Amino acid sequence: MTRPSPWFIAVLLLPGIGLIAVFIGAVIYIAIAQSVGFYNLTGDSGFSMEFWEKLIGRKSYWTAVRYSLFIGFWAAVLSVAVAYPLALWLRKPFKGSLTISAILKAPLMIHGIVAAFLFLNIISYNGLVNQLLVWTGIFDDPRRLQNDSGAVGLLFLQVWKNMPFALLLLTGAVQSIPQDTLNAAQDLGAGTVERFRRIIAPLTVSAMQAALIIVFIDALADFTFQTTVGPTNRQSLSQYMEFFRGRGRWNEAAGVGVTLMALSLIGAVLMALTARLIFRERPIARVVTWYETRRVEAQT
Amino acid sequence: MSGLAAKKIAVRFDAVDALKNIDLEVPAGSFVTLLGPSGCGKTTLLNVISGFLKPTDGRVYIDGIDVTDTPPERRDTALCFQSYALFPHLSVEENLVFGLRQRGMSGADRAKRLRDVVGQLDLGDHLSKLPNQLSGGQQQRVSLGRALTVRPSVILFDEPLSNLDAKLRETVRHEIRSIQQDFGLTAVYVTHDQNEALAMSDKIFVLNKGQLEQAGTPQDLYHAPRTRFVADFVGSANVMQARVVSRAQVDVWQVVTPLGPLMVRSDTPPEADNVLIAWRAEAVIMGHDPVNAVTAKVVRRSFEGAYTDLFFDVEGKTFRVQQTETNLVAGEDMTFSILPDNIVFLSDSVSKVAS
Amino acid sequence: MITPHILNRALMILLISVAILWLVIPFTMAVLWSLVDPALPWTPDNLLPPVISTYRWSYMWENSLLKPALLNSYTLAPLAALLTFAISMPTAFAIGRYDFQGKEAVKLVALLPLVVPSFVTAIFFTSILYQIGLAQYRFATILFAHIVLFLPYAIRIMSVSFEQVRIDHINAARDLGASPWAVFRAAYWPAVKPGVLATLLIVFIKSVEEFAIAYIVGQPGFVTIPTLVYASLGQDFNRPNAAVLSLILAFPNVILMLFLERLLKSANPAMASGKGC
Ligand SMILES: Nc1ncnc2c1ncn2[C@@H]1O[C@H](COP(=O)(O)OP(=O)(O)OP(=O)(O)O)[C@@H](O)[C@H]1O
Ligand SMILES: [Mg+2]
Repeated sequence: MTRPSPWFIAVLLLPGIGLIAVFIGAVIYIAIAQSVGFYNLTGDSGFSMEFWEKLIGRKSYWTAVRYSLFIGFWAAVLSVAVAYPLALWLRKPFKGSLTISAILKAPLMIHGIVAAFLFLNIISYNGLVNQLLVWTGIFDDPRRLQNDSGAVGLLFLQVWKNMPFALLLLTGAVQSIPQDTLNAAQDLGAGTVERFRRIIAPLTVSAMQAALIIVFIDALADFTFQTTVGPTNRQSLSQYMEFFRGRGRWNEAAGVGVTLMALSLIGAVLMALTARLIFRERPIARVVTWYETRRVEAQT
Repeated sequence: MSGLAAKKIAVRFDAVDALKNIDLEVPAGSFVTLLGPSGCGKTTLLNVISGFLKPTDGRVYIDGIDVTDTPPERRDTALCFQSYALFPHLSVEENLVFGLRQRGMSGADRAKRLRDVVGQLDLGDHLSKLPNQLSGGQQQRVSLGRALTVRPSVILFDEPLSNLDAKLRETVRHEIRSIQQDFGLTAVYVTHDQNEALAMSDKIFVLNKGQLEQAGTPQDLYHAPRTRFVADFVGSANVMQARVVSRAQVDVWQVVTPLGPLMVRSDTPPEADNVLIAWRAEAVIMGHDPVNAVTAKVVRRSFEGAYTDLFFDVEGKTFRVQQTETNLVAGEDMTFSILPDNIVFLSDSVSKVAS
Repeated sequence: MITPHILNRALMILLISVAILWLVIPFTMAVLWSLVDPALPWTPDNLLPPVISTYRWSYMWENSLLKPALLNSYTLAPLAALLTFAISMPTAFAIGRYDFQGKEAVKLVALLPLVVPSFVTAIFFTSILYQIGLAQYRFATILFAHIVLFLPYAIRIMSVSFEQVRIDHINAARDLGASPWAVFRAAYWPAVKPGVLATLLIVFIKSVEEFAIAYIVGQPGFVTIPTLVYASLGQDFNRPNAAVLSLILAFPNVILMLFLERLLKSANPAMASGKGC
């Protein structure tokens, strides 16, 4: 590749990268500025921490933070946990494996809102699930399963929509592990669980991290699933932000928006680090090994 | 019986017979080689022994116990992979103790085993490196060490030297053999290199197209091949057709060959009147000897260092004679004799060979 | 003895039943609901709707915001596709064909629109629009936001395409005395063609599906198909109507996606798996 003058490169990058930088930069800037009292649409503008203080003082704010983190965390972990065995199963092609992976990945093509509708349809008061449960005698009467307060339905939908994406990433990673490497581990006595823990997971940790991060950010900032199938007694951060905006309370909306961005960043980094620590660095095993070598040295 | 035994092993992949009715016996502490050309089923047989592949037919025994249905992780075998298959994310040390961890061995015992193997294989300077920071030969030694640390009942090698250069191959070959002897390991070694097989083995099993051609000590195979394939594959002997004319003595037959009439001394009689016979290129005496004298014109001469190959053509077939010292050049006539002791009857029928 | 073969079979049957549960049944239900006649409601004691009619479809066509939504969505999408593609070209060319300092950083910046939650982008974009007084130009502003939001896809796909143009092909063409246009035809076009189609298709699909921007910036009054479906799931939830709208949103996209999948696979397998990030 050639190295042309930096000015030429800058001109080429300007329309694409320039536009992105300005647009996203402006959005982030406005969010931060409005959260500390600038750029008010009505009334005075000026620096003030008043909105943050109000926000932090509200119980509903912390409920929304906790709730969104809960959804983001579990959606990411469950999607990856479901995708792993499937990716391993589909690692080597067999008759029908292509069909199966196509079926599994189909939700990637279905719009989230459509998915929400299909789901509501199935679990509605007179829907299939209720009828089945009544018919089998588990329920005496149909129950209201929609918008359950435990967010089980919401998490199910999140996993339904996000698992295929994790599967896509993990399949590629798992397929790139040579069969010999897995055979070697098995030959040396590693059973299924050990092979996963010591070989497969560490070798696919980057794909795992990518899947965790992307699903986490997506689910953390969810609005549509939450407002259609989520619990009605709690609000997600996006919903909370839209609630303030709808009432023209831009500064508080901005506070929630900044919270959302910060949590995306921190949460994503934490999940990625944890995954790496658990499967790659194995901190506990390291300490144990260190301790044991020390003991051996002391003895000899 | 202790050691390894595989009885009547057959493996079928869809329509292909990869192994047919293989019987393999490896007494405890001995070093056995599976020798054969590419695709003859060597790796398949190792996979059956390690448990990665369930044979279509037949049983595998380790120390007299039937392990055919035991999964690989619970078989007391360790395989050195052709590709090394080191764990790329683990340090050399972690690679070496992997099998010990799986067996739940305590840290102190692990450290001791590790020290033994590291000393033996001279890996001390590399313990904290990752496999991709090692040279090919070092990786090879780690792979060997990883299998050795677990002190398996049976250790298996799948062409472990094929990625090394000629010089290193020689050294590591000796290392493997001496470690095997030191630890008294029962070993099965796969190779398609006949020199390697002859140099290392207590016993060689020659495989061809999924079938066992011949088993025996290196000397047996070299001096008394039973089939054309073995004669050719182990040390490329000269093979030709012969018609048995008469039995001169109890163990001596008179035959007619493209090179003229010859005497053959053999403990086993020929299987038919028309047979194949084989003789080694170096098993000749230059000069006019009264028995089995042959005269031919050298068409090509090829200097190989320790010896020189001389080629001659008879009836459209090329034969080879090997001499340590010779002044003969292409175009000259040479006369030599093949001692009757150095000619063997092969057991494949002529018609089978012709087809 | 459980052989892997039997295990695979069992797993397969299990999986196919799960697949039926999780794709076939939901969609069948949706189709059935969209065919319910208002005069004879589908009550739980019937396995199938008592009367199958296309009344809902024609009703929605005549009496809802479906027509403007379709018009909006399907004018936004092709425009967004073309403009995104055009704007991404120079950047993709620079990343794909030149080596320069800070290339990795540039690639990271190009991912930003995908990392910032889309609701945050949507809300503070409207805030900016209010500040500068452009909030009433809904179509144009949504189009603009779509372009920026989908630039990452275009830049990524096109830069990989440009990387695949081989310098020896270019040189060979030049060596044979080709004009710049002929060089483009001979060396560039074959390598970038699948990427161009994939870019246009991906941005088209993403734009039709996009919800957050259309919903927030479009308020009040501007509808696209996703916002219309979303609204139909809200306060006056009418299941047959929502079914009709959902199917209208789902089907064209599924077909386009299948087409895209094939295109990406034939173009470059590595790209197919990397399209999301
Ligand atoms: N999984 C499989 N499915 C179908 N055929 C196979 C399979 N594995 C091996 N074979 C076939 O079985 C035969 C023996 O293969 P094998 O790998 O054992 O050969 P090999 O002797 O180890 O050869 P090489 O020296 O090249 O490693 C070959 O013809 C091969 O194509
Ligand atoms: Mg092999």
